[in-house]
Amino acid sequence: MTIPIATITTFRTAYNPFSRASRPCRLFLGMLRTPDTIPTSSPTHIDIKVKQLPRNSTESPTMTIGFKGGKELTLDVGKRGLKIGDVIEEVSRVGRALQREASLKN
Amino acid sequence: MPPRLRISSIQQIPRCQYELRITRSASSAAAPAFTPAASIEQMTRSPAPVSRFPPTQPPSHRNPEYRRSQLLRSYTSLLRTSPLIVLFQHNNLKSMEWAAIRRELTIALQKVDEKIAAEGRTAPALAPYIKIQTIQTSIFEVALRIVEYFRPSESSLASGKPPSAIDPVTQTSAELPAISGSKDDPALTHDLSRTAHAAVKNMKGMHELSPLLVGPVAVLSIPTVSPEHMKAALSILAPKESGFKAPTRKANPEYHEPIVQNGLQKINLLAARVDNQVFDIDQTKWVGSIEGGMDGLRSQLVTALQSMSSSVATTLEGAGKSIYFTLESRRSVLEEEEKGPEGDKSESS
Repeated sequence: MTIPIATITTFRTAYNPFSRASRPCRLFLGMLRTPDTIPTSSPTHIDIKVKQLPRNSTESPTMTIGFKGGKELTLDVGKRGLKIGDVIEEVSRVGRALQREASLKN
Repeated sequence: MPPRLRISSIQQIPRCQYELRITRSASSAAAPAFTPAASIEQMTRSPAPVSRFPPTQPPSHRNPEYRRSQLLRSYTSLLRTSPLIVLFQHNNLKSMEWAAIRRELTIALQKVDEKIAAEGRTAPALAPYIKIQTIQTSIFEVALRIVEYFRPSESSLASGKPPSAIDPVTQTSAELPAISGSKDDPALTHDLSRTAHAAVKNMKGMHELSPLLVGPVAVLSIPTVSPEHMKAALSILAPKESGFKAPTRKANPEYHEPIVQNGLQKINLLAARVDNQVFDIDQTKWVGSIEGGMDGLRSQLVTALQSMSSSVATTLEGAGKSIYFTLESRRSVLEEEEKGPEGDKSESS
């Protein structure tokens, strides 16, 4: 399943890389940080901020995805025990809805 | 063993003139000693009597022809030879971006080497040996386990070597007992051996770094623990996360080109491994902030110890001194008392 990357504008995540629960955050970061999304001049630029927690912190990893039109999706990856597939599913569901709205408007 | 053909008989055989000349010179050189003396190595160590495999290719559990086996060997050697390793997460970097980042990295490291040389310290130039490379995380994890947890016993190490001729127990004619050419042999203790595999199999995912080895990971390997080089590398690769200042636009305009900057935005600092210990980002920053490298740390330690020793000496001396001063003052008082009346007398008389 592909993510509608064009609908995403911001991405914030905080995780402790030494915990196994941070895996989906790091993998999802890999899907968003592409040559298209990194340059600020690009139309699909995504503002990415990563906060890495210290090693002994027990805070659960979280991510916040901001979409076009101001909609925000916050996923508590650690508490819900999400895997990368679940994260992609949730994000792309919101993204696809936004895409459809945009196409209906035009 | 004497030569089978006598030299005179060799000379009698008709040959062309060039060949004859060569034989003559060769024979005259070799004449005093027909058999060269055995080298010390040959006298003290007897060769393995029966070798069932080439010495460079011992039987192994993992097939040495596969790329993954050779990658494992290169990773174990990397982990054993570089005490300072920094791990990065990298996402979708283009080859051009990698090339630009590597170029900036080498320039920064060369500057550190020049600075060390200018200060007159005797540290070897490390810049050509510091590399950043992407790794296969699953293979790297196995290599990490082999390096950290696999300790072959002395006996198995010894049995893998050819018997010693000095030791009277072993004889030259003794057959190698252990190495039979089978993969199951416990005497085989190289990284691809079945012994190594079995020893680290149940340690899967137990290493501190193993949760980090997810997704695309790159390692920066430094062959000695040199905080200065690490600081320079981090100031190039992760200036924001590490807090070390990146070169200014004026000092190094190439660093601020979009190709480098776009690449760097896709690199994250993850952790470091310093002398077999795993450090997170804050601890990595601390290592990088050691001024003057290892020499600086040593000099700090020396000054701390020296100041401590001198303060201890003064404290210990203090008690003796105070006793001395008390007694001395008491003596002077007593002397004055003794002298006092006499002085008065002399004055009066």
